[in-house]
Amino acid sequence: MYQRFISFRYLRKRTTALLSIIAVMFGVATLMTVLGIMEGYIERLQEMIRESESHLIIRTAAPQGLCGIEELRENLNALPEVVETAPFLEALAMYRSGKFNPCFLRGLDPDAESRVTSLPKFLIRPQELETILAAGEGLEDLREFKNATSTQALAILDTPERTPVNSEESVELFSREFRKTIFNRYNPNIGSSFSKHNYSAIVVGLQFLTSRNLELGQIVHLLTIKPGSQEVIEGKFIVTGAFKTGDFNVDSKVFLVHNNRMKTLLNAYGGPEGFDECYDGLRISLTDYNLADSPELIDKIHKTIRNSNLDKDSYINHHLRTWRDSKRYFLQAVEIEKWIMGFVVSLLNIFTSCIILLMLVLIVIEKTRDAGILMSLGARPRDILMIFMINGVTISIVGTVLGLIAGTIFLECINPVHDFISSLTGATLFDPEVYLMDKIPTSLEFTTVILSILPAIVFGLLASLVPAIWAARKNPIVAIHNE
Amino acid sequence: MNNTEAKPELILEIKQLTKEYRLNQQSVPVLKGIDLKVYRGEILAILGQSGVGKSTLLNLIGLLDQASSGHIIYKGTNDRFHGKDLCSVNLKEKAVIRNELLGFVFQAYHLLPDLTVRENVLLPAMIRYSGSEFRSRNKSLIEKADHLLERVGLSERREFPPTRLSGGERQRAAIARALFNDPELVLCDEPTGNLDTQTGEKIHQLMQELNETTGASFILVTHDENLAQRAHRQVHMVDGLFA
Ligand SMILES: Nc1ncnc2c1ncn2[C@@H]1O[C@H](COP(=O)(O)OP(=O)(O)O)[C@@H](O)[C@H]1O
Ligand SMILES: [Mg+2]
Repeated sequence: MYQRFISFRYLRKRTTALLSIIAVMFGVATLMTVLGIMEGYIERLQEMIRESESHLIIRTAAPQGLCGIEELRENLNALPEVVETAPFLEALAMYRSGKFNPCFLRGLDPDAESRVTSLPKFLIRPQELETILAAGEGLEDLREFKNATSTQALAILDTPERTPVNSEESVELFSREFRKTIFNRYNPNIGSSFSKHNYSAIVVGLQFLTSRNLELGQIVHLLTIKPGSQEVIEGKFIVTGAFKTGDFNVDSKVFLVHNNRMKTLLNAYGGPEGFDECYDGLRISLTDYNLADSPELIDKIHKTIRNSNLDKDSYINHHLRTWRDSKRYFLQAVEIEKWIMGFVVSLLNIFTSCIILLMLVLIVIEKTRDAGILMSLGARPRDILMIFMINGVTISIVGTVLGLIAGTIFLECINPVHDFISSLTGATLFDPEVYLMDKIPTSLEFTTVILSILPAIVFGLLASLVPAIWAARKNPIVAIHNE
Repeated sequence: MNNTEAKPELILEIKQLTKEYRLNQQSVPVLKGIDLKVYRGEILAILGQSGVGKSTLLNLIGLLDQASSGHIIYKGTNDRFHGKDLCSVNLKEKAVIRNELLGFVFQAYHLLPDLTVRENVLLPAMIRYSGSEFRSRNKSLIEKADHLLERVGLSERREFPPTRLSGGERQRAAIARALFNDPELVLCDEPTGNLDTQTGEKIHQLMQELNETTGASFILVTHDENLAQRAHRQVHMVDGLFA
């Protein structure tokens, strides 16, 4: 193929060709990075929802809650698609640390919850927590303390080798024995009074500890409203441990409490006659989260609920939600934002294609005489077209491939790069308080790759085609005598 | 060398060829009905003042331009085109004819500056054969190119870029390129026009030698009466017609 041979000769030692390749590379890498980050963000958001909310949730609008769920849990567990169910309670509360702050109380059964949500992954072992806090020992400055402990937390918790806590360990964290140990360790001067107070355990989001809002072993006063009344009730808790979900909102707002303790505090859900156990809802985990989208399974679960002798009032007001239903509009908004960002960045590829176009126009002007000579030697217009097309397409393809490589490397290394830039400039570019996540999530799907290279290839082709057609349409006689 | 009688074997018969250029709605007639026969193996010199239309005629014969009227009947050995009017074959066929039956030598040499001398000489074969065919013939084609370069005295310069050759050397390379596909007719438009008399003389001798050894016909446009005298036949162009 002499067209390619001549075409490559034209590109040899040509700085404009190199510049065009670099431009295309940047265009592709940028688009890929943007799509990769947005896609990763969406995926991570969805994953976070599933990890903390489980796959399906039954709630009720009845004021006393979901009562008489024993039979329902048995029946649901008997379904092959269901892994486990876990009842939960929840309440808004205020805690005092200097001033009053809002928080969210999540009552759970540590054993069941461990099998329904990713609680085992989130819970931090006492030894791990000690190491994390030790990293900030002696640091007076809050910023320094926060940086040191957060970095240590990432190093310890976010490694693939870490095994999640097992269900005994999670039960242990809420146990009386453990509470006592913690109490005695951190309150040595009033050590003997533990039995008198019998503080309940709360496991707090790690953000509370790294931002020094609370400390391990601290006694916390919680205020909340008794359900169905306007009565303010107060409970005393001791911080026995911490968890980290990676969702900033959760890690800085939620306290975990044992269901039994929560009931004692609220002392409200006596429930109707014959039902001693009432909850705010029931979480269900499935063998595969995609089953939550299957109408057959949803139907089956509805039937199970109907046949499970739930308290009448609870049943009439119940509703079933999937993990997708929570934060649905937020997820949609992020999805739309992804496409808008992608579109805007694609415009960059039009710009880089213009560079190819310009470069090719220059080559065509310079090589017009060559085109005439080749035609006199028997080349057809389409051969001339090919020569210049190959010029542009080669640049597009080489630039695109380099862009793919650069984009992949950048996406892989984005967190170290971010940390490096932050440490250099002192500015936090990806603020977890803004993005809800403590690392930049990325995802590299096949479709993302295709979408990133498509504009570069399409516009690159167009940019090559126009000058190539121009060259091929030249009159050979005029071209030959072109100087 | 002497003015022997032209061999009777025809390769081209040009009949009533006209060409007019259109400039601002006005037509400017340049060729006004040319009749010309070109015979196998001859050197035909076309003489005439600048601007009479010699290059225009050569471009028409070379199928680089479209005549306004008239015919160029091919009478050569290629069976595919024998007896056809080359003015009315399609563009694709014109390209094939230029590649396989014709050779061009221009006043300004017209070598591709990005290719070496040898690659320039090989160009007609690159255009003629597909990639795989070219590769399979690669060895013999390179041998042929080297042989031709030796004939024109450029063996030492074959890996040079054309920009590093003198004018005479460039024209030798261009002649080697024109002859590569063994054309029946080589069209030379003032090949010595850019060269000093001595170098021009040498180029002319080379063409005569090659004409004898290859048997290709040459049409030589020149305004040098001395050089034209040594051609087998001369025609003079005056005002768009042969005198
Ligand atoms: N593309 C063109 N458009 C208009 N006139 C042309 C064109 N090419 C050549 N001519 C005119 O045709 C005439 C013959 O030109 P040419 O064949 O180059 O002469 P020669 O080669 O004999 O010097 C000149 O008067 C020239 O101005
Ligand atoms: Mg001329």
